[in-house]
Amino acid sequence: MNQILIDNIIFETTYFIIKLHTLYNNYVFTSSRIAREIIKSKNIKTTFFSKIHKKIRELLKNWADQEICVFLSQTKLGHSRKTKAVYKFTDHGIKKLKKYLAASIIFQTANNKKSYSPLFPSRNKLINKIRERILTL
Amino acid sequence: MPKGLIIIRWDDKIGAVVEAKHPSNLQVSDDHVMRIFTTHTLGDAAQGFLSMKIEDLNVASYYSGVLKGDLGQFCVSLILEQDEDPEGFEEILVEAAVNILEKFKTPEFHETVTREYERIIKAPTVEVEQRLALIFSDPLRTAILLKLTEGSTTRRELIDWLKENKNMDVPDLNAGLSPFIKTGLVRTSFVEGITDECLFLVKDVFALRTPIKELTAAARSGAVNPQLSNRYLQEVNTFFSTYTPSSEEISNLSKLLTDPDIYNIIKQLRTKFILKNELPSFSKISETEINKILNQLLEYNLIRIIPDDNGDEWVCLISDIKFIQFFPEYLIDTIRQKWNDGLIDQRQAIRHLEFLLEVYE
Repeated sequence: MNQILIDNIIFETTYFIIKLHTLYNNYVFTSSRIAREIIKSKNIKTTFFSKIHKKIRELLKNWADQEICVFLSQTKLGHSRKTKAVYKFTDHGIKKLKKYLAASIIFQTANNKKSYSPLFPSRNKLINKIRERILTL
Repeated sequence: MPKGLIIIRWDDKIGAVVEAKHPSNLQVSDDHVMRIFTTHTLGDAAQGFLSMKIEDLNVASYYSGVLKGDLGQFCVSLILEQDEDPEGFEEILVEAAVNILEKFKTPEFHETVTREYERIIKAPTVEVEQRLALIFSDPLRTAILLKLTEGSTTRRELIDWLKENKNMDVPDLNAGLSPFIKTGLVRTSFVEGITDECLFLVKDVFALRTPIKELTAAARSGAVNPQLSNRYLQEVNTFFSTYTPSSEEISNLSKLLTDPDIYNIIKQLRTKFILKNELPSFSKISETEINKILNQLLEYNLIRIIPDDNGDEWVCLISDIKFIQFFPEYLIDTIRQKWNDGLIDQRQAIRHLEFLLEVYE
């Protein structure tokens, strides 16, 4: 597995979490699901799964220490050695990840990296979400 | 409290002339009048607001530039006490100046000067929600907000866009932008490679009508007269079950908040139900004016007057307008897309992203 990918794991994981949070208001993620997503998006051989999965578990543990997410459970299928860690992200954590993404995007823009796919909710969606929260209080 | 308001007009033959002042015993020497005017017209003679100290005179002043229709050029200047901060009067003075100059050469001119001065002294400081109300009560500012939610722009581009797309002339962009800048919604900066100043939206805002949480909670918990509570909750439910929001309604409600007398009454009504005959003790205005305000609040469905068992009438706020500020994270995508499409300069994109990152909490 090349070194660049390892360096990119934080960005890719953050990107995936924010994308799913924006689309489906998702807060709970499993380490294996994130690993599969990175393998898919970066077109990496699946033989690297265990290495990537290990890195992601380390990253999530680190984030839990920073209270970005909370460890929920460790699951394991009866017949398999494979395990996956389940984490729930906090609102504070989602904010922190968005801030990290914004900083990474500044860095990418400054380095002329012109890649773009929408990541954040639209203005209308944001307003509707806030409006709903206020009116249900 | 400001000492007074003077309206200065430039006459080509005799120079700066005081067209009106309030109060009538306000003393400002001819030399000071001339110096207020020339301070504005020095340099590029830009229309807009200036604060100035001329010897012992502390002044917040608005210069109109040359008005259309051969009306001439004016300064509307507020003479302040030494310890007052002129910057705090910017928005309210600009609003007052526009209202006064509209009435120049009409019979209501002097009356308007008096009324606007009284309005200024009633609201010496503009609160954040009133500044936000200034945005939603003015179609020009609402259009500016709309444009800025599409990404950063230069001053020139904004003026052109308003002219071409909204058919709006911008006599004074600084005045239009003032509530955005003072509330921290917009930051301005020069960017290398762009000759004009750029405007960056860093916080977004929207307005909505809501029930009053504290009052409905008090009514539900029985903290107030049960008969009044039931009727109040019924009124709130009935209103909100059929309520349809509209931008015109938000604009009208915002206009109410920019009036200091109405704002003070609404602020009182947000905390409790008030007996109608006790309202004059909460405000310095006459009963006739209070009744006029209550009629306006009734018309816009902000209040209901509910009688109790003893026949006393209670004024109850059934809905309120809230201005919600939020972080415009959607702009991160917008900026990247615009830069990818070559619509904005890379440095402009980076500066905007940096500003957003700074305000992100």
